[in-house]
Amino acid sequence: MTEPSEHARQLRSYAEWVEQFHPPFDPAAIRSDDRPPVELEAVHGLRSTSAQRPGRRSLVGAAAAVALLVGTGLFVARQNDSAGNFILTPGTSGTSGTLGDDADRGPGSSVVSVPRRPVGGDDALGPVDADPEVSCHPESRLWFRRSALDGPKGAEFGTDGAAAALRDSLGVQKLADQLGGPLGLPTSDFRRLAETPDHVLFGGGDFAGNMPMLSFVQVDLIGGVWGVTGTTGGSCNQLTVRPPAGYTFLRWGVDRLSTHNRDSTELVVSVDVANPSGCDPVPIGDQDVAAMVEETSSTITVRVALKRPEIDLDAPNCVFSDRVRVPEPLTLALELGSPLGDRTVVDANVFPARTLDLNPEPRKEPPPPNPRLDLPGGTKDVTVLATVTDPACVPLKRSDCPGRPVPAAFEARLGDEIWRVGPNEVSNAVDIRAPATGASVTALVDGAWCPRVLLGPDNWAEVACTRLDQTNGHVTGSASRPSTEGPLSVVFRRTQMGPSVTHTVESDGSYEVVLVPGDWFAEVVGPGSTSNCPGRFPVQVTVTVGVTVTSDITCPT
Amino acid sequence: MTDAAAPRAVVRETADADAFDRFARDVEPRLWRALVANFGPSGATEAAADGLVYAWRHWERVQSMANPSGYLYRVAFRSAQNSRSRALTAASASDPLPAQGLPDPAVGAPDFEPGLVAALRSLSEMQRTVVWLVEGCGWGLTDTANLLGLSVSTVRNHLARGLKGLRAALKVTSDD
Repeated sequence: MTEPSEHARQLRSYAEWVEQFHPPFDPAAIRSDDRPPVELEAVHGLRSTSAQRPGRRSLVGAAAAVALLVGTGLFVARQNDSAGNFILTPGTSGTSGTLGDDADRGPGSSVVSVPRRPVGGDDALGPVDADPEVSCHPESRLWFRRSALDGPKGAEFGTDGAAAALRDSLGVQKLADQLGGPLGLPTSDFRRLAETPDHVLFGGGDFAGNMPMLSFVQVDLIGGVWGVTGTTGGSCNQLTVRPPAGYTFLRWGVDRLSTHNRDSTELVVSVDVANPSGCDPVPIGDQDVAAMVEETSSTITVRVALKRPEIDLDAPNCVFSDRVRVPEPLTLALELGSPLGDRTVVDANVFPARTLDLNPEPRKEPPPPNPRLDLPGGTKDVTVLATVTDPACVPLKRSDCPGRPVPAAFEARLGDEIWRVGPNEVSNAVDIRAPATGASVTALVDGAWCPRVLLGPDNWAEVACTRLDQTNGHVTGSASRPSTEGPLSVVFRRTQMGPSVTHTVESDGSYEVVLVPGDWFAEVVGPGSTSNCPGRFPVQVTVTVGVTVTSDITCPT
Repeated sequence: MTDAAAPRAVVRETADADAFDRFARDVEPRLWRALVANFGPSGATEAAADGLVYAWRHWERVQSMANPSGYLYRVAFRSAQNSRSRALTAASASDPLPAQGLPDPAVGAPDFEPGLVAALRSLSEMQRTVVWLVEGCGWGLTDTANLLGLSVSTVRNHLARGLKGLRAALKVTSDD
């Protein structure tokens, strides 16, 4: 008892009184309970099967009825990613650190209490001005004024040395497009987005439409000669507002494990925090976080940033980069000046600021089509679990690989059973044979997924992971690690080549990571996969909610 | 379809029912107490059952975990949270849901501070859970941290903030 007060005594007494409502417990009833499997995705409502639950459940009155109506059969409730209410910034967060003394914590994130505005020890974060510095790819540190995207086009026709360097670059890109197929990046209509006497950032394309494609070319004057020092490009759906000097940007979203209602006096948000590759984790405390909460009678505008940690660049294996390597979820509790009420919460980390939905309603979508599966002895109705869309394998360890199909299992749901079906077997045994040593499976996280990787000749590390809630990105899972040595990690990427979020699987095989909603590729990395197969060819599995894997994997010739 | 050609039925590995029963008897009360602060007695009972059904069906994996009770707490918590979310989504203003939190002291209950339950409800979920377990149920910080899957320092942080909030709600300025 740490609170030797009368109120603490009453609290203890009240807890004892509440104990009377604890019904008798019978483990045998649990073992014989025939409710549908409590898959983790069902826990968070991605595939609710509560309609099939037996009468033993005693959900309270209307709540039970409502739950039954909502969760019928294989109904899929998922957030439309394109709605993007919780996808706050594209790209990735920059350099920062992991949580120091919370490294031993279990699933979930720690809550760092952030004092009321402004925080971070100074007034670092102010209101976003009307024409902020922004970037499509903040990890590349290519910042420019928002208004520059509305500037005059045709910069590639300029007469100065910077424009000439740009033209040279575009010539190379056009040649590459001819040889390898177009990349889809603009090669014309460039603007001068930002410039100094020895630096120019050019941007091609228009920031307009649903999926703006922009390309960026950075040229610098080095030794009296203008030359291209960097190019990047791709889709640019949101602009990230540049954090103040000394801070790094980050993504944040409303923490879905916290409940917000009209009376809430805290806004609990989750942020992605990163750590440079190979560098020692940097503890993060209250003073490392800068948050600005602006409240009006109708809106609550939030900016969040993280102080750039002082990285020991001389540390072994420390490769400084803004590329995200080892982020940890960090939860911030932002105190509000007055209860939340009906006010809208606005994310000012992006431009234009976005409105967040604190309590999104799950979307009802029709169940996926249920194809019929030919099994020995008959045909069964199944529910598709996933589809291999980009089959590949690793030829390094298989002499018979080139040009020949590699046995690959696929999964199908038959009632409550998950069946693994291969070319030569139909079984619901849990063992799945390897397509090739060192192969890995990359899954697009979208509701339910189950990547697995072969860590040795006969050692599969199966990572059963389910995206629990499409709207909040909380992901939990577990990994079995048969006779493997060394760390096992799950790597999430927003794009296959993009920055990653790595989470180490705990010794008990469990892991949990918080991701902002969106499309994520997941990859399992273990010591065997890298040592046995330096040239891995990830198999991309597109997983659809509702769920099947239906393809043989054919090795590249 | 002939029997010979039919797919083999699921042959589940025989689990150690006795071991599970011992585990469940040990864990269930702790799950219930940790869940009741946020989901009420009925919700806690259902959520704990959800977690333990999950444990039984994944018994081989669960029993190999270093902190199975912490894992199951997360499963149970989310199950309850999701049930509540679904129910709230479909509930109408004219048909409000029954309260699913800590019960109000009924007639015949001990004479508690009138604002105690309301003060507890005013805390955040995590603060309420930690205060409930540590102060109400007399758990140690380590036990609380293990079940909630948090570090002791984080639990201590929640506890301090929760007690501060409790004092503010009860309008007391000291421990007395």
